[in-house]
Amino acid sequence: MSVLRSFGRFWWDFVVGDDWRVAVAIAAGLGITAVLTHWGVDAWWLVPVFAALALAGSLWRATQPTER
Amino acid sequence: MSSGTILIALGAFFASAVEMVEALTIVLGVGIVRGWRSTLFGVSAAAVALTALVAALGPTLQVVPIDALRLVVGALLLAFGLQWLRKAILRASGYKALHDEDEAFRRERAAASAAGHEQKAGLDWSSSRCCRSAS
Repeated sequence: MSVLRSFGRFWWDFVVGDDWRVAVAIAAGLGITAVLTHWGVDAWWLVPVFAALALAGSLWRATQPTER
Repeated sequence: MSSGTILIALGAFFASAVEMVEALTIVLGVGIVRGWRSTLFGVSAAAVALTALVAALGPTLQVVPIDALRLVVGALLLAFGLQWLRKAILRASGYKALHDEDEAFRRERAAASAAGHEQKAGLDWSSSRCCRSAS
């Protein structure tokens, strides 16, 4: 069981890392791009926008002073 | 070979080189503390196992649909790459401590010293297992 737990923890750390919101933003960007492409909309630009916003948001949160 | 293929190969090579440095740190720490015979046996065993895995499973990649493979690998690389870029920006701006290879070496060396002295087939099994995992 510990092997499975270690394997799961590795993939969690690999994909999610320090900020789960970045992984969620990427998944949302890919999902919305897939839906828009299915409807015939040229949405290649959406994932870079989501990635840039997710990175900016994550950096802003990480640099905020923590409450003591 | 096109320039695009060359760039991809170079990128993969340098990315692998980064991982090689981490594994080398562990192997050096274990080898210096516990001796080189068992350590190099572990590294050799890992290299042989990896070669066999690539030889056996490498051709099967052709069975996987290329578009699905690109989507999955691309999404994983994007997720991991963004996390890595985030950490790099925080380290460069001083909000996160820099990665210390000297400290990593000291930590691995201490762990190697504290490990048991299990002997199997004339080898220090702890150092051999550690270097198989690192490689």
